[in-house]
Amino acid sequence: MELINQVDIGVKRVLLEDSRKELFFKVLYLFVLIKLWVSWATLESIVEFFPAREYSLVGLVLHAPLQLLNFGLSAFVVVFSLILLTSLVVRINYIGSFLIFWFSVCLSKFLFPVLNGADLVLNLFLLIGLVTPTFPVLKWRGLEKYQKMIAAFGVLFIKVEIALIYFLSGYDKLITDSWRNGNAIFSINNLDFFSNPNLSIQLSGVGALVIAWLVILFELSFAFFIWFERVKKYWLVAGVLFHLAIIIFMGLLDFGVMMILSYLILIPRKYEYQV
Amino acid sequence: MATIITTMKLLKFTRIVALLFIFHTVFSLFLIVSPTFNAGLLTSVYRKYLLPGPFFTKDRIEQSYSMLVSCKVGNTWLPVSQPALENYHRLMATGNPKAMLQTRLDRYFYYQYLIAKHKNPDVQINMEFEQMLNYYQNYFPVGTDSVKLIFVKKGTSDLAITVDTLYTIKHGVD
Repeated sequence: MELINQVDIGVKRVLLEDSRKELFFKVLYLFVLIKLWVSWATLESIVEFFPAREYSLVGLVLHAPLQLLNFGLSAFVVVFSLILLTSLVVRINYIGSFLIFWFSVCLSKFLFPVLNGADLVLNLFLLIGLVTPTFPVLKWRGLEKYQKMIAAFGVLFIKVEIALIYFLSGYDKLITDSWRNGNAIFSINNLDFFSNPNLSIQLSGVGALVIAWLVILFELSFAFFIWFERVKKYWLVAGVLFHLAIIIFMGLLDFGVMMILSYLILIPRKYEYQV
Repeated sequence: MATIITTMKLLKFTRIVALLFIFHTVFSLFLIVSPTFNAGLLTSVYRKYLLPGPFFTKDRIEQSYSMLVSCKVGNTWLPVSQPALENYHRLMATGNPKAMLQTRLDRYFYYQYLIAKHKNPDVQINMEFEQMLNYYQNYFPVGTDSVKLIFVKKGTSDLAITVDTLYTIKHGVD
């Protein structure tokens, strides 16, 4: 019984933490909007070769927004842009969250030749975003409290997912020989599509080894230390630097930006006042 | 009385959600530390949608493939170019995200061909080849009557770099 009480207290404390979810989702929507506009030309190339056809009824329903392509690619882009722009100016709500997730999944289906990890992470956050709004308030039969509780769990879910993504990445590196002996950094530094030709750095074996272990230790520890208020900020700053390095040295612009933006959910509202 | 019942229901509901949440976290951690564990659809869905990553796996960072293009205009073979690499360099020089998507799309088409060729090595001109050639038309200068496509594999392992030419294909352009 005592244990259950302790768990209840723990759950309450975790759920009470005031996160900036409104800002987090608005920034995500802005990211989707920019992605949509940037990829417009690429979408035109893709649609030439892979017309978005659906052969099953389930597929047809799941990807119904792609039917807009029958009126031209612009129709899809304009409608999705309007949904995003509207969601940016109004309070986050169930309808907007659902529409954005639905259209984003369709966009990903369409953009499959150029997708990367950023799109998976983005769609995962948008999926969890379906349960995080607390507007419109469900006043019927006291559902409001359930609504708030589920929304709080949704926010916690996103935080846990961020931690798991880093832990998975760090653990995979830890069990891979080439990361443990530094060869992976040498490989990244020497492959054509992974290294910035304007910033060519000749790394020694020891240099590569040190960087590889810094990456492994950072990723594993990030998953742990972001749960402690006093040290969290150091790991978030390290994370921003880590992803900026990935953007500058490897050119993974969307992935780096996506991960940096995700940190917004980890910053408690009280920091806002301190700043 | 009604308030107490409602509070009890909410508490029960919170506990159920918390339990599901704990299950998700523990199961995710289990999948991370047991990368080969497979229990069908559940693990596939988990790994694909709820546990994105890892993103820099060994096979991705130890080898890359390039396609070099040379066009024949009149009787002259023009110097080779690498559209995908040039777009990647444009991304790195300017930070233009359009170049990032372009280089990925460039690579997608010749990777599709390489996968098909790997599956069926005897067939040189297949559907993927036609599609790739069609896509790359935009990079061919006006008056191109033939193209030479050179596929190169670059590997890096044990602090050594290896470069192999896989195939060279000459083909007429409509």
